[in-house]
Amino acid sequence: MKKVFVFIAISFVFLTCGYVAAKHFWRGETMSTQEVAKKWGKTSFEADKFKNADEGIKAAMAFSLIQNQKIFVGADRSEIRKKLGDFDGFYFSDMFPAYMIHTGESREQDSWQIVFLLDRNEKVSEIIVHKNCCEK
Amino acid sequence: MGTLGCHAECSYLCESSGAEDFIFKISDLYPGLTEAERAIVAQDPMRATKAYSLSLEAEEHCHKVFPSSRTNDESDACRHFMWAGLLYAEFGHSFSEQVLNAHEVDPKQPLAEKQMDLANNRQGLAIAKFLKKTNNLNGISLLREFESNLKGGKLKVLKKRKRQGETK
Repeated sequence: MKKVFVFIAISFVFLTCGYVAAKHFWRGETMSTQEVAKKWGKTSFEADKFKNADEGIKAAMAFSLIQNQKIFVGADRSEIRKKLGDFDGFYFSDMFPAYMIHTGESREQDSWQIVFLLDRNEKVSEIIVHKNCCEK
Repeated sequence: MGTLGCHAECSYLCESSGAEDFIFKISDLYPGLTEAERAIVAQDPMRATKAYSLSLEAEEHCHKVFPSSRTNDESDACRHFMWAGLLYAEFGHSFSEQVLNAHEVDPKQPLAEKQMDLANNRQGLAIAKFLKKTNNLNGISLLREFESNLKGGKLKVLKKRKRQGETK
């Protein structure tokens, strides 16, 4: 019985590590909502303002956007473009809506973007803050 | 003209294998692929995987010049140019062109963006072909050619980067 428990525990640890590694590979480095709030504040998200805003204002709205992401979950990526403007960031493929919120001046400085992850039907499944560049 | 009717072997020739169907279905799990790209993954998973890894390599090369990856600007042009060149180095013209065109078969992509991507792909393939003739086809020489092509106005860019410092 003890051996079975140890086997299950070890398998669980390996599977968890594998899941975390795979998730990191697919997503790259991301920022938690608490970190987003700490770094850029908690300005309320407003789609119309976001559409024409510069990176600083978009960054300030990022926390609120993530907190209220339900309003975009299930939306088509063309709707995102219509509501929030043309994408200016880049995440793995041209398909993912991505908006820059902080651009580093050099490779040594981080660049961040808001990414709308898509599901298999190309509908928004989740919104994340992703490190656009660079791996150090 | 008499051959326009369905040939007796049509059903056999057009039938896809079970493995091909299966891979096509599981490729649906990754949402960043167009239908045409999924078809390539199903037909040739090994080469398709390599092609995908070359797209990441292209982005990595471009990060040496641009500290962020954006859409419709010079870093976008760089990714397409470099990916086309690296694909050509690995697979030659035909499969590279197939992969690059499949990537652009996206009905939701604005036409101007598609035209930009296709133009920069074509330039990347052309330069790679030239570099191969001179036995100098590699990532470093491709990146050098990208910078010179960009300066010479030979690449299509819809939205110029705002900060001068970023290209240094």
